[in-house]
Amino acid sequence: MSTVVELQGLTKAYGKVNAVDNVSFKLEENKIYGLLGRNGAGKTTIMHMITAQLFATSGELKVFGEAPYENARVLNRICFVKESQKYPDNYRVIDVMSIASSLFPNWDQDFADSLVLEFQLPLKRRVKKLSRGMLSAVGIIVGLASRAPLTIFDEPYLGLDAVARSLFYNRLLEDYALHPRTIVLSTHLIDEVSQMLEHVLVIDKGKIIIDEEADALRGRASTIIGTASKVDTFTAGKDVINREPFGGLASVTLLGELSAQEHRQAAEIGLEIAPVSLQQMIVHLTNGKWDRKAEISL
Amino acid sequence: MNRLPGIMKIHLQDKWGWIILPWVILMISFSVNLIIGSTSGVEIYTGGLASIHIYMLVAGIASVAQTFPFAISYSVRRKDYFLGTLATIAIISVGSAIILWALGYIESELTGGWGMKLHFFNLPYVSDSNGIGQIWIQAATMLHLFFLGFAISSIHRRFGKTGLYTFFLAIFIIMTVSLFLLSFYDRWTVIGDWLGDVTAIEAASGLSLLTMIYLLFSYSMLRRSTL
Repeated sequence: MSTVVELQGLTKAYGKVNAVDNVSFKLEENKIYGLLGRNGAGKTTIMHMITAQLFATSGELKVFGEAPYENARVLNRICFVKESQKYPDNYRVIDVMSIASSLFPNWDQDFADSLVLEFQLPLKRRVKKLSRGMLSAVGIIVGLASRAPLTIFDEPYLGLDAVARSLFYNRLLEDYALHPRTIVLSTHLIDEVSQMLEHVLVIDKGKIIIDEEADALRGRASTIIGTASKVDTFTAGKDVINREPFGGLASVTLLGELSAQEHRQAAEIGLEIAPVSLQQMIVHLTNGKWDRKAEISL
Repeated sequence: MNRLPGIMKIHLQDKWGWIILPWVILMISFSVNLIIGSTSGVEIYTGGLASIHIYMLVAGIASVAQTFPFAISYSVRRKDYFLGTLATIAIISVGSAIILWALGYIESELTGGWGMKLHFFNLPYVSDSNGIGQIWIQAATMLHLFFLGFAISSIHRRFGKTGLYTFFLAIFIIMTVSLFLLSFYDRWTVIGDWLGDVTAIEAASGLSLLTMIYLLFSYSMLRRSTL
């Protein structure tokens, strides 16, 4: 499988603050990635650098094997849909679609037309007059119909209701099955997308803290519930990422897989083991209480 | 894939702004002059044509803010954005210049100043040249003004407000010093004599040299601009 994006020690500094701090990862061809993290963690900055809209302070960046800056071979294969997308003042929805069709080489007009109907977008309305949800729908349609080999969605569904969001997920998966490509989804709504993701990257304070296959990640954390003292004995020496006491009970979230023996042991002393959703796990890892110097080795 | 047509489309898609509005403004200016001309009965020389020139300057300033971020986020290279914009404006300028020349011809040769000795499209000094010359003068003026605005706006794109303030402060200082030196060494008459001898075509060609400088300058700004 070939590598589409490769970052080596990429750093973006604003004054003394490193918005992106020595980040390295790879994106492989035809996979769906989740780039997850809190606001201000550096997600958007990374995506702006991958698309050559921002310049890195240091480090190496290759997209389709080449530097993306002013490189038509690379840029032609990218579609970056962002929440803060600006459109020229006088543009109508139909103007955006028409421009997208002439700028993106793989544009599928029929697909775009059907999406416009499904999202109930008024083609003749000026983009400036659209509601927040409709504005997001414009971005989503451009992102899907462009069928770019590297398609990046940065918080694409602000203001979209649950129906429209699930429409987006369904169309994305269907079209991805027919036309595989590399997709990066950056989002807060982790639980909603977690089933679609094949690979998860979690960024916190400018650093990558998780870079793992989604399947491997699920089940990597578990919550132990029971009497506080028993829970503490059981979890002593293990990688605790969260501890919540309530009365004499405690609920402790652990990172790392538990062995069959540990499962038996827990059952014997009356402890309950519950799975942790991806979202919960990331909340625990990035809520600031848990601080770790190095990248975690799962 | 050649992207220039796509980038030209980014500009021209705004038909109201590029095709309708400048001519609506010009026609309003023209109508006002027609009304004055017909009621006063006096031979009128008017600078109403300047509205289209000012429009080009404003369009140049607005263009960077309106289309650059959009184009770049739709995976367009900065270089292609620049070349596409240049091609679009060159076509618009030459096209407009041809229309203006035709209107000027109707004015001076066919209708005797629209029947009321109104000189709106066909102005002295410019009309010293032949048709091609007049088209060149108009097109060069429009290109010059558009890219003057474009260059100023690209400083803003690259260095923000602070950059723009610094730039204008520098220009102000340079102007003040030059004006002082001209007065101090008593060179105004030399400049006046020189300007008096310049034909409209020569002036237009001189402007084009400035346009070239604006082009190189704005390209160097946009090349390093981010979103």
